[in-house]
This record gives sequence, structure tokens and C-alpha cells, in this order.
Amino acid sequence: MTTASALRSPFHQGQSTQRIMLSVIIALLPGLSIMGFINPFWLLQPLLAGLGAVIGEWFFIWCCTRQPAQASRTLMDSSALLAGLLLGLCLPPASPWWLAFIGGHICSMLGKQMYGGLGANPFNPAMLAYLVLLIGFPLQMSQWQGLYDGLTQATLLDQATVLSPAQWPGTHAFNQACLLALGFTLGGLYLLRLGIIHWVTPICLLLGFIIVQLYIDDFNVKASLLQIPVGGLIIGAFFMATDPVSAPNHRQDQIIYALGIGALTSLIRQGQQYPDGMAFAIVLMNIVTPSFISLKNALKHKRDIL
Amino acid sequence: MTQLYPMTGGLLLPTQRAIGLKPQALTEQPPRLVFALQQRHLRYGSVVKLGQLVFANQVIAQSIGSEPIALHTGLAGQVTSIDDHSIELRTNSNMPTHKQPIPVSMTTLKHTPLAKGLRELGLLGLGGAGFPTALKIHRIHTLLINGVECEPLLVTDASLMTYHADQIIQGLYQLLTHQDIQLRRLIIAIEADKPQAITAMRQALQIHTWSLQPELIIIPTRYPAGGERQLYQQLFGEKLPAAVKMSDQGVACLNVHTLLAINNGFNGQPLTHRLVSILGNGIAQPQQLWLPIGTPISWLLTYCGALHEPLEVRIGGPIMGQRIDQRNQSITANANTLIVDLVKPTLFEQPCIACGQCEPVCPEALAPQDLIALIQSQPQQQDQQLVEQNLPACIECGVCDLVCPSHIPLHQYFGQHKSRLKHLADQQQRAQIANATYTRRQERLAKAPKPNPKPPIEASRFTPSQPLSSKANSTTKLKTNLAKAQRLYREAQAALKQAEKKGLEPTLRKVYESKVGKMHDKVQLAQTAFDTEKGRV
Repeated sequence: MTTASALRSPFHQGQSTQRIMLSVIIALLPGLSIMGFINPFWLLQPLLAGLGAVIGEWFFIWCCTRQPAQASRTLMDSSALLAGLLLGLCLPPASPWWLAFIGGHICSMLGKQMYGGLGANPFNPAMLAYLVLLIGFPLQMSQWQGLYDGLTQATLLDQATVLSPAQWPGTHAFNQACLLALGFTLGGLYLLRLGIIHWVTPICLLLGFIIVQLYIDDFNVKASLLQIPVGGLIIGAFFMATDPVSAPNHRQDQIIYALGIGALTSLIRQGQQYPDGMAFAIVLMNIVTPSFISLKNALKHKRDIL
Repeated sequence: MTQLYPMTGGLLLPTQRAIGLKPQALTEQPPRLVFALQQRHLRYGSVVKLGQLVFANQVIAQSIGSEPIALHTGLAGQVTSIDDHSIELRTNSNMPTHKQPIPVSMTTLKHTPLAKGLRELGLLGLGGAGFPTALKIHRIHTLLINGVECEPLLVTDASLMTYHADQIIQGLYQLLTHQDIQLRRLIIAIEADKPQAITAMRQALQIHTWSLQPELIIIPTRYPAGGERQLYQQLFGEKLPAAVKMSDQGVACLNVHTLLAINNGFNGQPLTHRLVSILGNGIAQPQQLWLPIGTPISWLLTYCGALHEPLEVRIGGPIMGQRIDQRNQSITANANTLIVDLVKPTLFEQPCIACGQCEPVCPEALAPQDLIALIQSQPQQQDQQLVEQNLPACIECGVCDLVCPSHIPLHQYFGQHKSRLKHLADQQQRAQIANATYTRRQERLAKAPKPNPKPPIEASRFTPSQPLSSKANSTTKLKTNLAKAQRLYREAQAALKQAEKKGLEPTLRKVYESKVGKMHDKVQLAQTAFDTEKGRV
């Protein structure tokens, strides 16, 4: 369907899906540049994953429609590139190159196009792809050390059994993690400034995390605060949980959603199985999201939920 | 100073009004007028015949219903075609026009009941909705004059207020002095971005001495602040529920152009012309013209010097206006603006990403993203939910369209589904009424005792209970019988005479003669019956 001419009028506010996606990519730049500053090779993973996602999306649509023009037009909204970049940021830098590339494909195909494309995916594509890789390639996905000098985000959490959080400050890895967290926070503030994301989600997510973490740490404030910059918490709070498609539509639902993600992340971090719980927490809360509407309706009209 | 309450949602748009456009009269007559009979709130039926000559200001159609609203022609001419949808008139400037304008009652508004007078003058809301004015001013305590033309580009009301403020205020003054109007409050609302209009109106207000002081309120520029429901919220501080109209609350909202037309009505002039702004990049120069209602748009485009390129014509503003087919449409009472633009490349609608930009701007506090998700999934099964989400409250202002990053024509979808829901609700209501009537009848039938067998006819005909009246009845009956027979006899005679004039075959003549004879016998029979009855009495 072609649009009404009101949309072509000069009074349209000029916002477009493509511009939103590009703004988010721009918001990632501070974090990415800090990453490149620490070690330029770390940038390979996001780039490869982004490339994989773009190719995967084009290929999927071409397979479905056999119209290269349409496939290319779909890529114009840049959502595939963005999802790929986000996935790449979460991958361990030392993992093999094909992992990021495959991850990108999974991100576009399984995470988004399988459900009907942009706007129809119930899960955050990057997080879903991350989980698929984590379960499918557990060995490669735990290669945080090795190739490159230095340690990155999840490492500290990996070593939590060896190195207690109280010993983190001052280590090289912790400083890097703080620097990266700062970069992504800057990007998040930029998105808040543009009005693309709302402050409710990141604030409530951090709040939910802190509350549960305080309880776990026996109300040791310092130990709890130390957990914030490490892992994927900041990038998740500003870039993953704020994905409008998979998050609830209304503020009060978003509060519950974000609190839930924060709490679940903290809880999963305590388990020994997986070092960082962000991806699991987000996908779990994505599963709950559709129920918010029926729950609200049920409360409003005093009906049974099902 | 009257307190003003904030409006929900809305957007501050660059209004880009071409202020300074002066209302002008046409320099030549359109060769034909086409009156659309099917309008948004009314359906008209023609009261003229094919080929009939009509004078200017003559009624040519009336709306269907118990309280008809007249439709007048602004120019004299001859009716060239009539069908269900339109009346076409070939105008003729040489035709002698009546010196006196011809409203139906030949009286001015002052001496008739207001609603009746407004119906006879054919007054409709000229702001854009075209709702009959007579239905609005029914048992009101507050009159709200709407000069808040909030959509960008529009200048019609602004220049009316600037150049014809005295006539508008005169209309208001006359309306107030009418016996049918008893007001507690009188508000004139004008948008802040029309300073010239505000000063002109203020000056005009000072001419009269008012029994009820009008409050001139300046509404901040924001789209869609001029919607009736939005004005209500800003002035009275509460939102109207979806099903409640402003007139239900005793408030009537009249556009400034309507008020000008009412002023003309008090001078005996029905609604025949309206001011139309013609804007856009598809014409040589923007203009503002007093056009007779029914002016064909194709002729108007030539008159205004439209470019010879594919054009896109909209009636109404750039956001809420309707795109029309310029070949067979004409100016109606609600056409305040004509926007003629070159055709622009189409954009593709993208899927909704639930970004939520549309929610804070919605002036009715709806959640357009939820509505569109419901509509795009399975509209038929979601009717209940659409109503629960308050879709019927949507005013189709299109603000959500303007912020949507996915270029979804949201307000078009909402408009479609709103009317569909309304249609369904109407059907349901009618079915309920029919069902209730049926069950009531069944109950009545079940309750009623078995009807008695009818008494024999002979007994019932001459009941002794009312001998006198029955006799009187029988006399009158016989009298009418006699009169009827006499009439038929005369007719038969006349037919025979005419036939004789034309020259007739003998067989046919015999038929006629026998008929005359028969009629004569009948007359005699009736006469004797009548005489005997009279004698008896």
C-alpha cells in the first residue's frame, strides 16, 4: 500500500525507520571507538556479524520473493546491520571469525525474517542469535582469552570464582570494562536526547538489577555497584532492552519489563552455568511481553486471563 | 481573563499561512453548476424538473427527512440533468433575476423560529464538517465561535476575520437578539498565529453594546487545537467521552464563516456562496474566491490557471483533507480550501516497529500503535477490542501520521474502521429494536384473550345505539355518492365531446355514448336515493 499524501506533506516530522536505526548505530560509535582504541582487532566481531546479518537478510528475502530490488529495499532500513553490530558486541573477541558471520545470519533469519520481518519479531534478534550461538557453540563462545592481549567484558564474570568482585578494582580488565561502559552510556544518553528511547527502561533495568544484587550481596553497596559496569548490563540497558519491537508498548508495562530484566540478569549471574545473564533475561522477558496486554485487559474487565 | 486548560497531545507545526490573501469575487460565471446530493450528513432530493428554468437563490433540492434543509442555487440557469447524485445546471447570466431574493418563506430570519429559518436558508457548518447548523443550536447555553483554523496553510477563516469581521460580529449580534437563543456564555476563540484577525475582531466587537459580554480567547497555536472536542477540553478542562457530542453538553460551536452566512440569512440571503482558498504549487497564484456552491472543480482549475501536469487535488487542509477526483467533483458547502499540488512520488508503507511516537501526540490520548497492530492482525475478530481501546473517539486529525517513522497512513486506517464499527453498531441497534418489538408483540398476542367471533353483519349495521348519527352519516354518504356520480358523468361527457372534436370511428363513439348513458343512470339512482333519505330524515 502506498501512503497517504499527508505523509509526503512538508508537515511530516521527518522521522523514518531508517533514521532511527542509523541514530542507534551512531550511538554505538563511542563504545565502538573505545573498543578500537583498546584493541582494533576487537572491532572485527561486530563488523563480521553486521556483514553476516545484512547478507543473511538479503538472501532470505531474495529466496522468498525472488526480487532483488525488494530485498535491497528491505536492507535500506538498516535494522539488519544494527542487529548484527549489537550481536557482534556481545561475542567474545577471541571466538573464530565464522562464528560472528553465522551469528549474523541467525540474527536476521531466525531472529527477524522468520517471524515476518521488521516489526513482527517477538524476540530481540541479537539476543536470540547470541543464545543460539551460546547453546550451539559452547566451546567457541567461552574463548574470552587467548588470541589477544588483555581481557574483556565477561571475563571478570567468568573468573568470579577465582577473582572475587572485591578484588576487581585496579585490574586491567575492570578498567577496560568501565571505559566501555562509559562509551555505551554516552551513546545511550545521545539516544535519550534524541527521544528515540525513553528513560524508563534503562533506569528501571538498573534499578531492578541493583535491588536484587543488594539482596544477594547482603546489602553491601560497594560490591553491588561494582557489578554494574562489567558484563553486558550497560549495553543491554541502553540498546537491547529498549528495542521497541520486542518490548511492551506502554510505560507501566515497560517498567515491569525492565525491572524483570534487571532482576533476572542478577539472578542468572549468580548461577554457575552462564557468566552473564543479560541475553537470557531479555529473551525471557520478551516471552512475557505479549501477556502484558491480556493481563491488563483481564484486570480492567475482571475477566479470566486465558 | 478566562482560564485555558492544556490540550492532550498535538504537535506544533509550521503553519506557513499565506496571510494577506484577499477574498475576491469571480470575474466570470462558471458555465455550469453541479450540486452534489449525497453529502456527509445529508441526502438531498431534487425539487426541480428537468429543463426547468431556475432563478438565483431558488430552492432546487431539499434534504430527505421530516425537517428538510433546503439547497439553493447561487446562479440562475436551466436544469440540464438530474440523477441520484447530482443536479446539473447550465447557468445563464441573461436570465431575468428576481429583484427580491427568494428564501422559501420570503421572510427574514428574525420573524421565524430560528431552527426553521436556518433550515429554509440551507445553512450548513462552513468550517469543514458541513453539519446542519439548525441541529446544532438546539437548547444551548454556551455559544462558541470557532476561529481556530489549526491546520497548516489554511487561511480562509483568517482572512474572513480580517476583512469581514464587522459582518461576522453583526451576525453574532443578530443571533443573540433572536428570541430562540438564551445564552449564559459567549466565547470567541481565535488561534494565536492570526494577529490581524484578532485585532479586526476586537475592533468589530466594540461597535455593539452587548447584553452578554463576548469573551475573546486566544488559543495557542498547536495542531489540532481547533477541533471541537479539543476546544472543549481547552476551554472547560475536561475531555468529552467518545459518544458525547459538544451539543449534548449545551455548547454549540459555530465557525466564523457560518456566522457570516447567518448574517446574510438575517438579510434574507440563503447560503449560496462560500469563500474558498485555492493553494498549492500546482496553480499559478494562490487565490481566495467567493464561489457559488456547485462550481465544478475542473472549471475552477482552468480559471485559476492550473498547470498542465498531473495534479493532485485535495479538498480541505493538507493533513485532514480528502483527495478528490478533479474531473467530476464540485464545490460543496464544506469545501473551505482546495489544495492543488503536483503529483509527488509515492512512499512505501513500512511495518510498525511499535516505537510509540504516536502515543504522546494523540489529542484523544489513544494508543495508535496498539490500534494499528489490532487492525493489521485480524480486524474482524478484534472489533470488541478496538471499541475497548476507544477507537470511536479518534477524530482523524492525522497527527499520528506526521510522526510515524514507518510512514503508515494511520488515520486512513482508523477512519475506515471507525465507520465500519459505526455501521456495525447501527445494524446491531436496529436488530435489537426489531427484536424487542417482535418479542413485545409475541407477548401481547400470548396475553390477549381469544378474539370473539364477529357478530352477524345485519345486526351490526343498524345498531339501535346511535340511530341519529347513523342516519346523518347515511345522508352525507349518499350525498358524496351523488357528487361522485355527477362528477363521473361530467367527465364522461367531456371525454365524449373531445372525442367528437377529433373525429371518431362509429364503434368507438358508441362505447363513449354508452358510458355517458351509464353514468347518467347512476346519477339518477344516486339522486333518488339521496332524496328519499332526505325525506325520511
